[in-house]
Amino acid sequence: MTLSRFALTLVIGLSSGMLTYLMAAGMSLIISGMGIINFGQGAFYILGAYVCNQIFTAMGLPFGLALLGGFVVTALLGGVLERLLRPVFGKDMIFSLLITMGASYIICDSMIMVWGNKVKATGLPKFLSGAVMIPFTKIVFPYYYLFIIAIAALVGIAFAVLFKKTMLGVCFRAIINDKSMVEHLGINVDRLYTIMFMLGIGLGGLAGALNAPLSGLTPKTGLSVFNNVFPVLMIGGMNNINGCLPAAVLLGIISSFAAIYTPTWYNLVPTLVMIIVMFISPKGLFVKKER
Amino acid sequence: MKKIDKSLLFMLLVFGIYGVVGVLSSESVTAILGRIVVMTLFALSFNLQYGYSGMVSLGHSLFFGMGGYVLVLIMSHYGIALIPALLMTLLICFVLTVFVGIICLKNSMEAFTFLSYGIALAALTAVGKWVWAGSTVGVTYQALPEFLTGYRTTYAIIWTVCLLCCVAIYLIVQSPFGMLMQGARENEERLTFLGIHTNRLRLVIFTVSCMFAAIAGILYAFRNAGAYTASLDTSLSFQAVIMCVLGGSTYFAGPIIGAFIISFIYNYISTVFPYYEGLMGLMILLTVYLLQKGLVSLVATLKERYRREEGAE
Repeated sequence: MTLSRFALTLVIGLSSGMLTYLMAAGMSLIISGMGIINFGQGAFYILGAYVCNQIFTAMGLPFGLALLGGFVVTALLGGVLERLLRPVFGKDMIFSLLITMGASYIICDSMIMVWGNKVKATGLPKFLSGAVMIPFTKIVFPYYYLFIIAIAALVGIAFAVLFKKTMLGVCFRAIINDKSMVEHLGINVDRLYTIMFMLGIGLGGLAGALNAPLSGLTPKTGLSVFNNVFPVLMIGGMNNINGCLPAAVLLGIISSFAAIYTPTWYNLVPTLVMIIVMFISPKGLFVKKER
Repeated sequence: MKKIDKSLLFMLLVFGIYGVVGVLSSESVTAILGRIVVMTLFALSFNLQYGYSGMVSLGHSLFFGMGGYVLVLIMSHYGIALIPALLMTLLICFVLTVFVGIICLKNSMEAFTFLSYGIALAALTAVGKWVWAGSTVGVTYQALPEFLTGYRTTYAIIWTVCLLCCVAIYLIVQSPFGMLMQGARENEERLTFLGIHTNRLRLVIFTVSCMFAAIAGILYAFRNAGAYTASLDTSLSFQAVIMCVLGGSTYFAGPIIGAFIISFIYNYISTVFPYYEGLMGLMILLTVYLLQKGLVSLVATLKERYRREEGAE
């Protein structure tokens, strides 16, 4: 393997890892904050991609707007879904799980109704097509992959700042630790839950919108995306948002190298890695030891 | 004790109706009935995990598909006769089930839900890419020997085996082991005090439940004359969950009713309405909002109301 190919694979792996990170962080936020496993995330991912396609390709509006649209539309729908979930808070986990799954079935089928079952392609925006070449070497980086990494890194930083520096982040961390105490302090937990859920779902939509130019869209792709996300959550630790980033990057790079060596089986590699990790440390690799 | 006998009676009655209708009706009706009977066993086996032991697995379709696939694959590729192939299938399924169970139970119960779903999905993807296993098309193979084919004979075999398995599940639920299962659902700590290794207990429950699902899968392969990816699809796991919730997971009879309703809807509506999965989603939502305890609980509520009215007089 030449150096240029190695570098290219690394960048592609990093970018796909970053996309997975966005989705996994959204899911992890919802799991750790609300105790709900959101099985609908795949549907929202695809919805984000379709919205991006609609705004950018079909309506010809700027790409930045398309990304924003992917985030906003899914986040709003997430808000609606959170309303639907309210009656079953604190009851058996199965009910919230069924609601998210039922909603994702409905969303998938309404997407088929609106956009049809054909595969759709989204073009690259002009200023992001092409590639940058590092002088004196043959190493080439496509702009778009760098763009994905940059956006996801920005979101990651924003997330960290939100959590560490703002009042909202303090409240989020407090809810994750001790929900009833936060309620006793007179903070409106319900509203915080809505914000949390919208953020988590919106991140999934944003990941879908970012991925739209890279792959064709069909409404049923949402399920296969889950194949990449759940190993990240297990390796990073279920209730641990900070573990998502290293796990996602690690798995992204591993699977992008695997794609070169075993093009048929590469999207099972994350699952395989996860099974091995489960035997070594069942709680996940990137979990801090409890003191 | 009275209530328990009723549920066994109900099951025998339902199976009796299925049997009589199967004998009297045409081939197309028998085909649908075969699916319903298999689904009844599938739902009951799932309820061992979900309703009785409180383990929410979303990967039950994996074991259903596994049974059919393993049988058809070893028969079609190695030409093994039916009886040894059946034994080998059960053995292979047992080993795989224990392996999957060990992985899934490594972490908390939330992670169990998550992992079981993920592994089932990964298996679906793997089979879809594996040319030896028929990839996305599936494998067509008539597993039964020639003198046993014909739709009526096949249905008779499916009906008999399902009835036997359902009775076995009933006996398991009534046995002391059934009490242990409910203990694992209600109070894990207490069981630990009694000196029971809960994780190992859960593994046993998981294995038993999944082996029944594998048997259902084998019967489904008989009915379809082959193994197809539809039997591995993860939406089948959700069907199992919704069968149990709709019928009432805390009652033995619940999944039987749920299996009938859901498979009927799936079989009928998918032929007339293209968006049947969305409709399914809507039904799931309605069930969760209106019928959290299931249809069987309605009977109990009605009876309660009737008794109260009588008492007022």
